[in-house]
Amino acid sequence: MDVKNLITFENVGLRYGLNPEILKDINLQINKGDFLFLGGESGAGKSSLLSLMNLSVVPSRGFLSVFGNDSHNLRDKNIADIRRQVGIIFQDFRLINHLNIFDNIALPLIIENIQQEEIASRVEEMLNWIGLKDYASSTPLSLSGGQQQRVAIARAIIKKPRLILADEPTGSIDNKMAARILIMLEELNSHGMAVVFATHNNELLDSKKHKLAVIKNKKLEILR
Amino acid sequence: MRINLFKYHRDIFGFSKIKFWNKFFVSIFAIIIWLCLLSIFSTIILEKTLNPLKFSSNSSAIIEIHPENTIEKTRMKTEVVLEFLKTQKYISDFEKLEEEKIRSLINTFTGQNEKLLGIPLPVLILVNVNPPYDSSLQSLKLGLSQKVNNIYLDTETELLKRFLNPISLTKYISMLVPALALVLLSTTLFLIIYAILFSNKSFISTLVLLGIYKTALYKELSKWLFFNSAKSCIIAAVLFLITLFIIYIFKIVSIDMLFLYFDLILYFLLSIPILTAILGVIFLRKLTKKYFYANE
Ligand SMILES: Nc1ncnc2c1ncn2[C@@H]1O[C@H](COP(=O)(O)OP(=O)(O)OP(=O)(O)O)[C@@H](O)[C@H]1O
Ligand SMILES: [Mg+2]
Repeated sequence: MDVKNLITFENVGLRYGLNPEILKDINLQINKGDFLFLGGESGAGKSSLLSLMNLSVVPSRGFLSVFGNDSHNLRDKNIADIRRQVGIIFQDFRLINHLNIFDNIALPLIIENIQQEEIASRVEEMLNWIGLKDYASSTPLSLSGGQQQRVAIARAIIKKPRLILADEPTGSIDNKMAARILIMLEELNSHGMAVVFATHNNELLDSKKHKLAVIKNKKLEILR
Repeated sequence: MRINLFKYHRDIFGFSKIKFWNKFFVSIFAIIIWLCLLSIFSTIILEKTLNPLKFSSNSSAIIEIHPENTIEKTRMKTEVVLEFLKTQKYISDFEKLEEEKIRSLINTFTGQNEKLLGIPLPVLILVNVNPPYDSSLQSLKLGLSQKVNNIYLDTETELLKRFLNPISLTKYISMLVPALALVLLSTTLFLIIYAILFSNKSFISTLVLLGIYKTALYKELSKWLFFNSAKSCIIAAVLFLITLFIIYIFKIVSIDMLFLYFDLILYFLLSIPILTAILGVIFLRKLTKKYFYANE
């Protein structure tokens, strides 16, 4: 398996339970250093495609490999290992409400069992970066939607993952902030992290010349 | 600065620094109240079922007639005793034991002994008195001693009766009680652990999606879950004991019944840590599995 290849989809289909397939014949390759825009209307299946990449759902058909592991032959522990190498920004943020912002951002580092001092300095840096350093000890529920989104982004990228899956990372923020976040992700990308950026915001998709794939009628079309 | 992921999280009673009351608090109390009611009702029902079968050690006796010089003499003496028993009102029934039974009874104490085969056997008559009062037995004793001499009245017949009638319903039911207790306990534990997991569903699933499985934090999560369920089980057990105490205080059922329930209480207390551990691990695995593959 090519080390440059991160994710491969071959004729993948996905269905939830006994419902009809919502994704059909997906063929896609994501390589090291790629920046992929993922477009499609609401309900097209963008989040579902990202779930496949994070292995929170398994394909009902076809072949999917993540970091060189066939999704059908994975054990629970391997799945967890893979997930720790992926930074995911959930569409609904999934912040932990009983932890403060500092601990929420630190969570991936805590999972990796990293030293306290290092965690403190890296989280500090992140808080500055997202402009929320005065909110370190607030809880997520006391933050606005846009602020929560920035926390979610910080949590996803703090451990410098191999692959960033961003599900509508600009959904709850204004255009100026959205442009800033896009630039942030591009900066991370230039350091070698692959980024998958899902959004239904066509303006944003047209503003840059990154690779673009759009889900239409349950199939994935590669446009650029 | 050391953070504790679970410190501020709601525990079994939904007690947290963020929210004092939540649905979970209510659901756990519902379970515990359900448990208490169930134990009261099952105690009463068992009491009603077992009552007719219950015998105090004073409700029956064995009359032992020692062998005389000749067989004829022994037989005549036995006749006299049997006639006397027929005339007594408080004797509900009596049974002269077969020679076979007496011999096997003796064998259980002495072992198979060839030398004892020639020795003449005593006559044993099993007597049930009703009402089962000590005074009935006293008057039986008195009446017998006036009629015949060299007779022995054995009132410690509990063991003997069990031997003569080994498959008694009482024994059968008392074997069911621990089984019932175990079923009750596992159901309760299932509900408690499920409630804990359910109330923390989004928290746990987020951790799982971030790849917590088999990391140090995962162990911490398992421990946290274990202690939370253990805590709630111990609280449930204490409430269970309080229920039994209330039953005892208000004489809802007789004290004898509580002794029967000591089995149950013991099982309940002993199985708490074991079952909590087993079920906790199983359910945690099940739930984490569930979030590994959302479409399964
Ligand atoms: N867990 C699930 N169980 C059943 N059906 C689901 C589940 N998740 C998503 N779906 C269905 O799959 C389809 C695609 O959903 P998905 O969330 O992937 O769309 P999306 O492109 O991310 O939409 P949006 O832009 O609104 O976020 C929808 O029709 C939805 O009803
Ligand atoms: Mg979505």
